[in-house]
Amino acid sequence: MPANDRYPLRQLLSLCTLLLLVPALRLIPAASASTAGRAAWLSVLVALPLCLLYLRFLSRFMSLRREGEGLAELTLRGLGGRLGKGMLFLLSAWLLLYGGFILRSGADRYVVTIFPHSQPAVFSVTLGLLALLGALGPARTLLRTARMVLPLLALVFLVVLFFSLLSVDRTNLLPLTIYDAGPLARGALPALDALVLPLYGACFLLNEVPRGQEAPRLVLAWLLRTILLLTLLSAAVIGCLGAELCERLSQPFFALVRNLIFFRSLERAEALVVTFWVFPDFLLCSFLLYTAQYCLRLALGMAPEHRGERRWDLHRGRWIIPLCALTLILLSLLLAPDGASLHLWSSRLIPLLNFSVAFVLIPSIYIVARQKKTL
Amino acid sequence: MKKTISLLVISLTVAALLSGCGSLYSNYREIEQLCVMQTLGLDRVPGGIAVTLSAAADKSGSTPLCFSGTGESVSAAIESARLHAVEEDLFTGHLKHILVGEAAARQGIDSFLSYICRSPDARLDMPLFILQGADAREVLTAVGNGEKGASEVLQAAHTKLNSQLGGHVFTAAEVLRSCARNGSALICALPYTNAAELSGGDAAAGAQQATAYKSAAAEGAYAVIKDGKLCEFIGRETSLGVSFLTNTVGIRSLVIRDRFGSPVTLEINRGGTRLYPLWNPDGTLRGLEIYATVSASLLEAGSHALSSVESADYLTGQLEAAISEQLGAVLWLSRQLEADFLGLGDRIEQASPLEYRRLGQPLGPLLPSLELSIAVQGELSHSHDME
Repeated sequence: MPANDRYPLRQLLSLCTLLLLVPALRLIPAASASTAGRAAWLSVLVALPLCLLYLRFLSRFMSLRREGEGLAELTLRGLGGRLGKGMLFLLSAWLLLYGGFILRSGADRYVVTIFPHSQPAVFSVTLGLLALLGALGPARTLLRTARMVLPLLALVFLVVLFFSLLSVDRTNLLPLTIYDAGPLARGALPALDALVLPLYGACFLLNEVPRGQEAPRLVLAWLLRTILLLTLLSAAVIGCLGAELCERLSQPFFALVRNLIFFRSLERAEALVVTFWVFPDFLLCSFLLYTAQYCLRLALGMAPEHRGERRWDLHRGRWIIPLCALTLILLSLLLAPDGASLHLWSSRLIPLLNFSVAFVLIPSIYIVARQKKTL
Repeated sequence: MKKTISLLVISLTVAALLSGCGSLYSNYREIEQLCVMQTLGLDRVPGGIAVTLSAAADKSGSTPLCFSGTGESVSAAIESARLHAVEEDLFTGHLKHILVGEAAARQGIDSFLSYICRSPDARLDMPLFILQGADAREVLTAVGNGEKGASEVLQAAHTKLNSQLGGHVFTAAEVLRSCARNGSALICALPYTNAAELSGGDAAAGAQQATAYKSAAAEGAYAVIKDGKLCEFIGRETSLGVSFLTNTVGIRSLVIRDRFGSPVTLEINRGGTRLYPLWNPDGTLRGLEIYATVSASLLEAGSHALSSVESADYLTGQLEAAISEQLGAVLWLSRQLEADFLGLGDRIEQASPLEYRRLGQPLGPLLPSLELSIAVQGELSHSHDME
């Protein structure tokens, strides 16, 4: 691997933040509000202990990696030959399915918020092709893009938060009672769904991150910052719109932005804000495509690391990348033909699969590998 | 260098393609061609919905434009209006007010609220109004003169309600939330009075109509929505009670009688209510104690209205009685309709969260069986008398 293909953990965490924004805005205020009601703004905080436990597990698992190894390599080494390859195929399939879903739900966001007369397929195909461009390059490019885009999105986020927190209605957030505890625990599941993907997803890219002593501290600080940001976001959206309305809206955050008037002179800025969400969409899809093809090539016995190939060089098994992109786009076109099925995928199937991967598949790799003493 | 040049060429090509009419970006429209609609009127017609879109007056002084369309849904009706407006490109992204005709509101506003929730054009914080005694189409086409249209009149009414009368203009978001939370909601009502009718059929001028409409609009009346349908109006005579019970009391005038039966005008400048729920030992709600405070100044009276302590006390008593009466009238309506349109349930929940959650049912159906007590504490802050 060329030395300049390596990247620091901070860049990886920047990417994780952007990866998180896509499912977070889809799930956290709306899906949590439907179960937790007014208390939903605390759902991310409630998910924190589980996230910390999961982070501890991942840290322990990743501490077993050797230099140049990520989750994919660990899986292969831990499970050995057939089982490892089978697991990599499974992970690759999941990542492609999730990527297809992200393309589809991202397209739905554009249609619902600013392009009501458009077809989702236009956005799915365009974003899929952009993701292909991203995945054909080295992972380092994605991380640097994330590093560059993050300040812009952080600025947008802070401006929206500032103006919306000014118009929060306290009665939409309080009072909370002991009776909210049960619904709140259930409402934390969507938050957990959004949070675990960047956590285990980042492990796939650890192969090019130098091992360091301060890594756990950095990741913990990132997680706490993220939780705080998402809690503020939930409080702003639910505080302004109310849980009842959040539950009814498919994109409450963007509905909130549509309502904002900046300095009594600028309004209807939602199109701009929605457009900025192209960056997280692009990065998440590129990341999923990159990781899926990486797992697939590793399972097929190829060397998936980027070795300075030009973007359109399809040698050394890189032909798999456009093939995966095609699968991704096809999945996005076939996955949910209408709003009702998209809702089903978003609220039931994808969270179920995501939790299965995060809490069953990946821990089982660790357990089996420890039992086989291969790690 | 090669990369930079390629990037520059691609950027310039994209920029050229995306700009100007007939570009790749097919939604592009020149702003001069747009007719910006500000008010959306909604009515029901047999087999569907009728919309009336009204623009604001432009600087040329021409009569504000108004377009109508019908369809099976709000969106279809708006599309129909677009098709009928052959010379204008109707732009509905900057709608400022939504007016619903009384007949349509009585049939139900759920589909209208659903449109507001889903449409990328509508904003959730748009103020909603229900027209009392008229259809939206009738009003939007009739109101206004050559220089001002319904949009300007509504804007004036909105500003007046918010700032001068201290009333609260309910937005679509608030109505949706209240309907979901309490099963009922309040919407500002605009009692429409046609100036031509007032003057015995002599339609003197459009300007008069606008004035009559404006004064009616600013009365601060409310419409009560229950189960998604308009069921009652609250007129100006009791709307002050609503302001007190929703703690949105602003500057309002109130006419009472002095000891000699002469009218005295007070200007209410402050007020509000506190609510104390009364609970039975078994956790059920027994009643509500409502404490109101009001502060007013003497605005107009016969001479020496406050010349003695007795007179001042008497006027204070009259003020308290008037407020108590208005509170009672609104609460009576709430009990009669079994509808918590005042959001009392929310206030009880704020006061006793645990007990209210244990109650496990909305307040509306419980209202008729509750003991209600009202206490008002008033003060005459100043009299503007020269001493």
